[in-house]
Formats: sequence, C-alpha cells, structure tokens
Amino acid sequence: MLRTLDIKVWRELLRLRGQVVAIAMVIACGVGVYLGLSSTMHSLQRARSSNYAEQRFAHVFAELERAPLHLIPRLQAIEGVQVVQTRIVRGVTLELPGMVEAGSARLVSIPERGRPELNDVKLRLGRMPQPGHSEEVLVSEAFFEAHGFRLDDELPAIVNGSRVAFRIVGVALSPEFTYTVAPGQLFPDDRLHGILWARRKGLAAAFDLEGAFNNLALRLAPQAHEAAVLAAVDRILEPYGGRGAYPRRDQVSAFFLENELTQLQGFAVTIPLLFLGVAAFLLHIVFQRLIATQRSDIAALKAFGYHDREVGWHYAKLVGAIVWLGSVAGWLLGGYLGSAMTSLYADYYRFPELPFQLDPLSPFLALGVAGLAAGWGTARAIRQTVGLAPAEAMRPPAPLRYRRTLLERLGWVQKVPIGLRTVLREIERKPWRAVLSVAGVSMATALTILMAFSADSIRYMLQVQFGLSQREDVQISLLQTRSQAVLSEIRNLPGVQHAEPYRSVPVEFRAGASVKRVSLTGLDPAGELLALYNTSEERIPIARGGLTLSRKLAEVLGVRPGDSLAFRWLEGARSTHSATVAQIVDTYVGLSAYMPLDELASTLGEPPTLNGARLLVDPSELASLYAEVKATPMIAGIAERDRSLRLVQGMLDENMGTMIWISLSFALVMAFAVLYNTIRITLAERSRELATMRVLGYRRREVSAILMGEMGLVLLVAIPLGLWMGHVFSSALVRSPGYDTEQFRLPFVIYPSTYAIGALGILASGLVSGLGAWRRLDRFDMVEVLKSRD
Amino acid sequence: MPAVTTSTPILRLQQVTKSYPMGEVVVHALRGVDFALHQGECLVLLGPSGSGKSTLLNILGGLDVPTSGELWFQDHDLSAASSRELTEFRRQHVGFVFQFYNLIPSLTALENVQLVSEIAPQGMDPREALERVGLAERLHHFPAQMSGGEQQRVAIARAIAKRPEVLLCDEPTGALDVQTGRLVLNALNEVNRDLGTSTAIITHNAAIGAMADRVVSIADGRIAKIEENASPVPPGSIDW
Repeated sequence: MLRTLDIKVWRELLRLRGQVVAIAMVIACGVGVYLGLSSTMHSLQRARSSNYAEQRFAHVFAELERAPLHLIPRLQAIEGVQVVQTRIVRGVTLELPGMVEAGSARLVSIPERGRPELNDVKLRLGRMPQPGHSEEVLVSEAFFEAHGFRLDDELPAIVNGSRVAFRIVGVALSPEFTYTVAPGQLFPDDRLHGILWARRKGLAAAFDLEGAFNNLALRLAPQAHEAAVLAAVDRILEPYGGRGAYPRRDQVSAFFLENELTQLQGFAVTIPLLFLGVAAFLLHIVFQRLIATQRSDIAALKAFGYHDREVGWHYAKLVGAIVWLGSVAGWLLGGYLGSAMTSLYADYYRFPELPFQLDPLSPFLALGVAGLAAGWGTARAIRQTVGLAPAEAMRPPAPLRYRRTLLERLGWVQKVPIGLRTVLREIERKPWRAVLSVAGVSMATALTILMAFSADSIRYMLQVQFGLSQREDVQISLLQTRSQAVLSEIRNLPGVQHAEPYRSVPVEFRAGASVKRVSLTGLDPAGELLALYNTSEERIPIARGGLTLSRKLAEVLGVRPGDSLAFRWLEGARSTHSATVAQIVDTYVGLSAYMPLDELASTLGEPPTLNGARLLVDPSELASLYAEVKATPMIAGIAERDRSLRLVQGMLDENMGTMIWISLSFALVMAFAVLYNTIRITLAERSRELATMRVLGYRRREVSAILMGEMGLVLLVAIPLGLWMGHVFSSALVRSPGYDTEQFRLPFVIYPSTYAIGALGILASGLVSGLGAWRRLDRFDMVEVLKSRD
Repeated sequence: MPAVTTSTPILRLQQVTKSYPMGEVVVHALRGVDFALHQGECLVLLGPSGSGKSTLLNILGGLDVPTSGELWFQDHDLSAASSRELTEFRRQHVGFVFQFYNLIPSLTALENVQLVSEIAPQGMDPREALERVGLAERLHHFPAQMSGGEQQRVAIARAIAKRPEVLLCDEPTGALDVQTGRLVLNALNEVNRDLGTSTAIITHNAAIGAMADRVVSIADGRIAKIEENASPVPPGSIDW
C-alpha cells in the first residue's frame, strides 16, 4: 500500500508537471546522448575487435618497390615478429560497365593456395578464386553492391598497361578495408573505387613480380617493441625501395575508424555532462522554491512526529522520480539514437557484422551519473528541510532584504523604469541563479554552434578544395614517369583545352628526430590549375628557390620558412638532397610538399619529366575523353573534380543535416528548460507582487513585461555570450587531435547563417516558455493572491 | 477644507448577486445587494467573516463581476465589463489598501508609490503622498525596514497617489495593533477629508464604524442595515 507521504510525492509531481517534464527532458537528452554515442562506440569497438581478431589483421605494414622472397627469413628473424606476410598490391584502372568515368581498384594478392595468414578476407558471397585461374577475383562488398554486380560478371581492367578481363567469383570484406577510400581521398566513393583480391601467381606474372613482393604485413608478439621492429623492417627493405613501415594505427582504414571513435568518445563524455549539469541547476532552483513554499507542511510533518530523515527522504524521492523519469526517456532515446547511428556507420565502415550492442552497464552508469548530478543540485535544499526545527518552520521566513543595485548606488543608472528596477534587484539578490541561468542558456546557444559549425567548415573546405584550389576539370595520372614530350599527346586527347604537367615523387623528409614520408610534387610555376593559399587564405604563386610545405607537414617536421630541410628520394637513385623551406601553404587534405617542376628535376638530376597532368576539358567531350583514356595504357587513372564535390556534398546533405537538426533540437530543449523554469520560478516567487500590480490597475501587458524582464535580460546576455562561446569551443575543436590530423584538417569557419539559426532557435524557445507563463497570467486569481499572506 | 459629502452616488449596486462554485457546492456570497457609495463619504462595511463583505469589495473595486444585477460607476455600466475594461477602471479610478499591505519588497517606499503615480494621468507627486501619511522621512526605506503600521501607510500613500475617485480598504488594520491601527485610520480619515476621496473601509471591527459617515452592516450576503452617523469621531479616540 502506498504510504500517505508517497501519495504526496505523486501529487507534487503532477502539480509541478511542467517543470518536472522540462527537467526530465534535459536529463533524457543527457542520458540519451550518452547512451546513443557510447552504444555506437561500443558496437563499433566490438565489431572491430572481433573482426581484427578473426581476420588476423596485421600489426605492421610496409610498401616497397620490389623485394625478393628470400628476404622472408631475415624479416622473420626480427625480434617480436610472429608472422610475415608478403603480398603484391597494385593499383589498376577499371572499365566499369555503363560508366563514363574510369574507376580504380587496389588489386591485392592472396596466396596461391589456401587463405591469407594475415589480413584474411571474409567471404560474403561466392567462393575463393581457384589456384591457377588468374582471371578470378573477389571484389569488396561495397563496390559490388554499388554496381549491382552479380557473381560471374566480367570486370574489364587495365593491369600494368594491358587489358585484362577479370571475373567476379566472390564478394569479400577485410579488416584492412573497413573504410575504403581511394589514395588521397577522404570519403569513400564505392562506385569509383574498390578492392580486388586475386591469387598470387597471376598477379606476380602480370606485374613482373615473380619471386618477389611489393607489400609486407607483419603480426607482432604481444610484448614486441614496435618501434624497434619498424626500424629493423626499414633497414631490411631500404635497398628494395621500402617506403617506410608503419604501425596498424597509421593504416588508413584503421586510422579513420580510430579517429571516429575518438571523436565519438569526446562527445559522449562532454555533451551529457553539460546536460546533466544544467539539470542539476534546474533541480536546484525548483527545489529551493518548493521547500520555501512548503515550510509549514514540513513543520506540520515534524510536529506530527515524522523524523527528519523521513522528511528528507520524502523530498529525495521526488528528485529520484524526476531522475528516473528522465533516465527512462533517455534510455529509449539513447537506444533509438544508438541503433540509428550504428546503422549509419555501417554504410561507411564495412564490417562482416555491425550489430547494435548496448554495453549492459551503461544505462545504469547513465542513471547513476544523472542521480549524482541531481543529488548535487538538490542536496542543499533537502538538507534545509532536514535541519528545519518544527517551531521555526511554522514561522514565516524572514522578510526579504533588498537594496539598490550596484548600478543604482553608483549613480550610473539615473532613471531605470520601476519594473526593470524590481527585476534588477531580484537578480542582484540572487545573483547565482541569474549567472547559472545565463550559463545554461549560453551553453545551449554554444551547443547549437558547436554542432552545426562542422558542416560550415566542411562546406568551406569543399569550396576551397574543389572551387579555389583544384581548378582543373580532370586530373590524370600516368602509369610511369614520362618525358615532357608526352604533354603534347595529352593535349591532343579529345576535349582537352589546357594541360599542366606535374611530377610527384616519394621522398623522406628528415628534420632532427622527425622523419616523414610524403610525396613531393613538382608544379609548373606558370600553372593556374592548382592554386596555393597561404595561412591568411591569400592565393600565392609557388615560391622559387626551395620547398613549399603544407602547414601540417611543417608542424610535424618542426620547420619554418628559411630552414634547410634534408630529404631523400625514395625511388630511382635514392639520393639525398637538401632544400630551403621557402613558404608554408594551408591545405586541408594530407601532407603536401611542392617545388617548381624544373627545380625538382635539377635537384634530382634528371631531365624534366611528368607523371600526371591537370586538364581543362570541354564538358561536351568529357565522355569521349574518358573513352580515350581507357584505351590509353599509359594513363593509370583519371579523376573528375566535380564528382568528388558532388559525392561529399551529397553525404553532407544526407547525414550531417539530420545530425545537425537532432543536436539543434537537443540544444533547444536545454534552452527551453532553463528559460521555462526561470520564468515559472519568477512567476511563483513574484505572483503576489504581480497580482498586486494587476489590482492596482497595471495592464496584463505591463505585468508580463516585468515577468519576462528577467528572462529577457538572461537572453540578452546569454545569446551573445553563447555565440561567442560557440565560436571559441568550435575553434578549439578544430585544433583538437581528432580534427587536426595528418590525413585531414578542418578549416575553422562559421557562417553568419549558423549564428543566426542558433540565436533565433534560442529566442524561439524563450518565446515558447514565455507563452506558457503568459497563459498563466491570464488565470491569475487576483483575489486569492491578495487574501493570503506570502 | 472639509470635503463635501453629497448624496450623489459614485458607485451603485442594484440587485447584485454573486455566486461561485466552491468545489462541489455553489456559494451564494451576495444575494441581492442594493447599495451606493456616495461622493466624498467615508463608509464602513461591517460584517463577520463569511458575510460576503469581501465579495462586495471585490465587485466594487472591479476585481470581480456580479453574477446578476447592475454595477454602475458614475454613469458607466460595469455589470458586464470585460477584464480589459475593469483593468482600465481600476487603473484610473480606484485606490486599494490591503490587509497585508502588499508592498513590492524590492522597491523602496517612494518607489512603491511611484509604481502607481507612473501610470496615473493626473498622479500626485509621490513625495507629497508619503508626506500626507507622515512618512516624509522614510522615503528610501525598503518594506523590510519598516514596521507594519508604516508599511500600511505606504500602502495608503500608494493608493491615493493616482488621486482616485474611490478608495477601497480591505481590513486595513487587520494585521496591526490598536495604536498603529489608529494611525492608519487617521491617515485614511485625512485623505477622505482633505482630498474628498470616496472611501469604503471593510472591517469586522464594529468600533471602526464610529469614524464613518455611514455604516453598512452585511450579514449572509445581504445588507442587514444602513446607519447614518451624524457625528463621526476622529480615529484617535476610537478604541477596540
């Protein structure tokens, strides 16, 4: 049977339902965001660790030009190495059925017989290629699905300059390609780029790598010294065109996945705490008020013989009920968010299985943290009820003491209207409440900016990358380095209006202890199709007399303009050179280094060559250009700028839009809850005053202006403050490790429209809470209010 | 200059009834009241609690509307006035004094009076209003710094600051001791005499009737009797 005091708990909940629901919504957002993000993380981590373990994902990778298989015992002998896997991995051009564009794929060898010992494929459909059947391939699942292929379909490709017809015999996934992006790209384009696996013998023959390998993967013993292994591998592969061994965490797919998890984790901790902090504050003001109005009830209970403990427990139950309500709603919200986000991730991160999994402890952890926050917020109020002596509680509380506000005392404000004066004095009497209200609303405002700015930044990045920086229509890369004479051939391709050559070479920069392997690109100094921008976003020509480095590369190497930088050419002569850092440019993707084309050639001691070109093309002849390119064996790949732009734009519109609206609505819930409670408490505390003013002849409009005054002041301070905080938080976020990586950076850009949406959203939530209070003014019983002594 | 008491009604009630639901039962607070407040008079409405006197005052002051019957302010029919019209009536013509003063705690005495003079077209200088009730020295004190009697006198100053035609007082001495209560009544008396404000004082305290021009007794929602007082005494000599 429900005890009478428990019935009171229910009645209070019903009576305070508006405020209870508002606070529970904030708790629900906090708990929901935490569960949503943490369960997404948990699902990804579980899928990742089982996938990495089952498919025996390697610990160390290395690419090289060509090394004989008899190196295997030496690699095997490195301390800490358990398994050595040598492979042949090469890029190929695909002739995709029904597509104008040329696709590309990475062709990865699997042993002639059996399964790979490391980086095993997970067969999703079909069968493994048969030994001796060099035309049989497995294709990656996303690519297979994007094209609607069927087993036994043919897949024409250009392998090492000759046309080959592969046959799809199976569909596979691999931990190495959980996130599949074409080299140098940030976002997957499953129609244009895929992975193919074929038996080794055929590949070795096609690429002239019989008895040799160009790709190495290692599995390490648990106690292995990773850095030592990497150094040993580099030493062994050095004479064979080794491009540097790297650990699993730098492997492209693993890196992107890990980075995603880091970002998720950051949000999963900070954002829920923000919401629960705001909930604690709201509970604080609501319970202070509740207990102030129930002094005589508390006195009566104690006079009847209820223990202090029982009275305190009674109010604690009320808090508990709100926390419970919010948490249960948060569990549902979190479950929904988590499963939606997990299935969204499944489109980009390809696991054999990515089931939505909830860490069974996390709902309770969320409940516990929400309970702690609520306890923190209400401890003082509840302690007051416990400490109240019955006789004291029977007496009305001491009259409120007011004074002129500081502004008035200083004489700064000569003629503040009376209504505003009462508002200012209320605020000065309870400054913390005002400060915390401002904090809550400005946090909510900042949250709208923080959640929406990355879309602005990505849009801006696209504009710069594809609108300002990359000015070509298409870019072609050549299979091999060719002399400048080939440029005229390229210029004669159909539709080509203008062509600018480039030459990129793999180099290893060395500055003190920092070593970085990147590609150094020689550019035509008179070229127009790749625009460089300095850190002040001004377009600058490529500097003569040295290296032009991207900001991140300069940071990684710790060099500044004027410094001398040593680098080693990782191909051909493998010679070591040194050049001055001439200028720093800002780029958003990868690490880049440039030099004028002729300087690069003379530095390397070879005649001017090229291995790619940027082209301006007559759009009406694009199709014939593609057709011609596919038939030209010397061209390894072709990339169309607009396609990349469209791809990323589509992804943004599809996913970011939804995410932004969800987080915007969370922020608005927070603002609404703070403002609604502020105004309801003001209404409760000042109802007698406001009713008196109504009796004295004040119009409803005038009285509500006073009621809204406090909220208005809060908004007036909180919105600009919140926009500024949003700006600061966002700029800190783009510089944080998850957003400022060697693979990509986000520029810090917030468009005015984002500020406007944030400010207007918060204003709207103020309006909604104001309307709620406005309706209450209507129901004011002036007579009732006047009869009672406050 | 003594105010002229005429028999011109300023507020007039005709067959006014007021009933309202109170939970499951309907309370008939007023059961047909005919009564007028005359220009310039000081009237005491006397009745025990539950007699309907507060309901009567609420209707007189435009806080409530009658269920049936008529309410006239001069030649305006307020019987079916809207909430907006009642607000304007209160704003322009009525001053209120409450049992518990109802001062705004965050405003000083002077500001509490300004609160009203600011919205009155021909308002009185708030300092003058406070001087009239003998509080010229307490202008900048907050309610919490004043005694109950002082607070009630601030409330009177606030009520008269708009120069209302009608001053309605609901148990103005109800929360005060005798001595302080006399001071407050004195202030009311002076306002009535000097400004000619028609004043109605509601009380359950029969002794106060001695200061009135007329005493209207209410019982059970009806006017029980109306007594003319030919020689009102100054509040200072009233005892209870």
